Amino acid sequence: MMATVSLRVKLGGGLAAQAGTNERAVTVPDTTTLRQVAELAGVSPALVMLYAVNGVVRPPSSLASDGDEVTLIPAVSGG
Amino acid sequence: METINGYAGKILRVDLSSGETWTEPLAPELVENYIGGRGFAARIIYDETKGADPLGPENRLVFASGPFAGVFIPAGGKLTIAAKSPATGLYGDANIGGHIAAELKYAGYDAIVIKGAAAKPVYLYIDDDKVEIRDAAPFWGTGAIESETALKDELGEEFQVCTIGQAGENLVKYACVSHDIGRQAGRTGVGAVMGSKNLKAVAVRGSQTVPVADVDALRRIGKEMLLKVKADPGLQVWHDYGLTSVATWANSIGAFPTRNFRSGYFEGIEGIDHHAAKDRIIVGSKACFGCPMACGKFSRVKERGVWVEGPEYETTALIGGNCAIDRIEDVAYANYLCDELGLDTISAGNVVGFAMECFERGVIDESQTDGLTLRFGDVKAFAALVNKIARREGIGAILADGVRHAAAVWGQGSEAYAIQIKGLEWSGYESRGAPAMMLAYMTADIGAHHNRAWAITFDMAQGREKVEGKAAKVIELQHIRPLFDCLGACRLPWVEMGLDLAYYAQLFPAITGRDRSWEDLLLVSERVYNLTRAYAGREMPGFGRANDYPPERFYTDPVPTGATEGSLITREKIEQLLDDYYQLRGWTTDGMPTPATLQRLGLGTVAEEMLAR
Repeated sequence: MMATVSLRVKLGGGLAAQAGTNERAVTVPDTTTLRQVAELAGVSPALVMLYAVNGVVRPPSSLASDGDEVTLIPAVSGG
Repeated sequence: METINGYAGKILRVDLSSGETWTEPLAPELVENYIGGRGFAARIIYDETKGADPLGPENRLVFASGPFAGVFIPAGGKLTIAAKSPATGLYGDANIGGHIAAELKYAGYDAIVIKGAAAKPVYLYIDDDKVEIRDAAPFWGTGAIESETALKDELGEEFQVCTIGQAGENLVKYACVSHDIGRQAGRTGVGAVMGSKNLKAVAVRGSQTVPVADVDALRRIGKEMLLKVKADPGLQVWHDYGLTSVATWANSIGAFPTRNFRSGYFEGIEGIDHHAAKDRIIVGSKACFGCPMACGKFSRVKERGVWVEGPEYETTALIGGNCAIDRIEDVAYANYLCDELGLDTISAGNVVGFAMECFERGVIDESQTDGLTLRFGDVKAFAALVNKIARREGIGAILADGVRHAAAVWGQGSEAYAIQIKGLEWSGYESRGAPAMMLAYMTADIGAHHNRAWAITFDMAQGREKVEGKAAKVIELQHIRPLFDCLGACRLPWVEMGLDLAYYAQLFPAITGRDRSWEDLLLVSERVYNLTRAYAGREMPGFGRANDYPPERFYTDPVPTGATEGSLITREKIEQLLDDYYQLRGWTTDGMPTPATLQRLGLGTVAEEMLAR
């Protein structure tokens, strides 16, 4: 049987408006990358600038562990 | 003097030729039709600089805040610094955070308008009603941050000080104005205009308050906004990494300018990204007036013994990728040099990248570079060049006038890869694979800058090849984003934290007592955009569509690698984008506002002047 992980996905800035919520709970296969987590949360990965797991920035190809909090930070411009 | 809620109610006028200073009441029609900041500046520049030499005494240098500056909201501390730009010959401005906007209002002024030129170096001293033009001889020839520190030591830490470095003194056309030990009004050469007036610094201290129409409403809305920002899940990441974090994302989508915009992908990104910055140089965060976000990072380069605010994204992109410098310590050191010399890092990174490409191609050689070998990735070459540029020494005298000028001097086809529009060097987004972002650069009224419209995520969401619908989005953004500059507030709480624009719509009547809809405020922004375009038409005969075209490289050099490998923008797409854009704006096919459009926006006298030409 495929192992799964339960994650709390928090959506920063304008991503919340895009997904219609600022937080989602998802249960996904433990082979799911952060990029795929974004898609499952209703967010286009192209618009995600940073992925943080429990407050630590990780590459989009990383995997999360059961109970982790995944924060998606939107792409923005400066000045 | 009649109280105008949200405003100090006065403009400080300074004539450096005669040494006179005086105040005038804030005109009600200026408040009503232009709100503040960029709006005030655009109207003043339009009215008072017809035919002016940008570096002559007749040009005006305007410091203008808006009604949201200095009051209790997140990040209500933006100041517009504007002039007729020496880089473009058009309306030019740059905005700056820190604490100067709030302090200026506390001193009793919504704006300072400076004309003339002093016979010797001076600085402007403002302590509430006490205004003096003082000798700046001891500070002339020193760096921007060095002179700011020295003035604060002399006058007191509570003075908020704007300065120029050697680049401004020597009229480098992309010299910036510096403030708050590392913040800059970077673009369009406002520092050169300050230098042309022999004005080294402006020092301000104020002890007054800003009248507000409904204090209870302001406190309620302001507190709600602050709590909203503090609750955003992304806030901690912004605290930790700041705007450097944009670099990895931009690189992953092929938008990170690399080797003079040959590419949008930099293979050395890991040496200069947010992890490298956080792990190796960042020592703390720094916030502007009233801001809970603190996206400024203060860094230390131990091996060089220097400190710098930054590097933020644009600097990382233009000094890092665009000059192929792949160590964060080297980027931060180059950032420090530019800050101290008073150079805009965006233009400086473009200029040095352009010179490196010209050297690589054999357009120039050591006989023209004062013996320097200019290779991509060489921070020593970068340092040597910016030092020469700031002092206009040798090759620096050519490069001090920007890439358009250098290409005209060196020729041999180098115009094709002088990456600029209207004379202003391109900021940090390679846009061959992003038509909306390309159009945003093409139609930004000050030249190739992203702050009028940042549309690349719209390209990502709607389809990178698509042209349809892009012009409408660019126009929408060109009205929203510059509105923040009119209001005197930073747009980053909206941009980064997703703070709803409805908060700003509620704030306006609470602060000013004026019942105006958000749509009505956006109409002001549209008015300003058309005014600066009309100004371009008046000041530069023949100005129009041809001035909006991007450089040849973007049509002919396919991106060699990365997510946008092989991409180009076609001429057909460019024409379609402009056709759509002009039509939606109510401009002619040559890109000028029609009299009917100007009339609709309440710019009847501007229309009459245009028709009389």
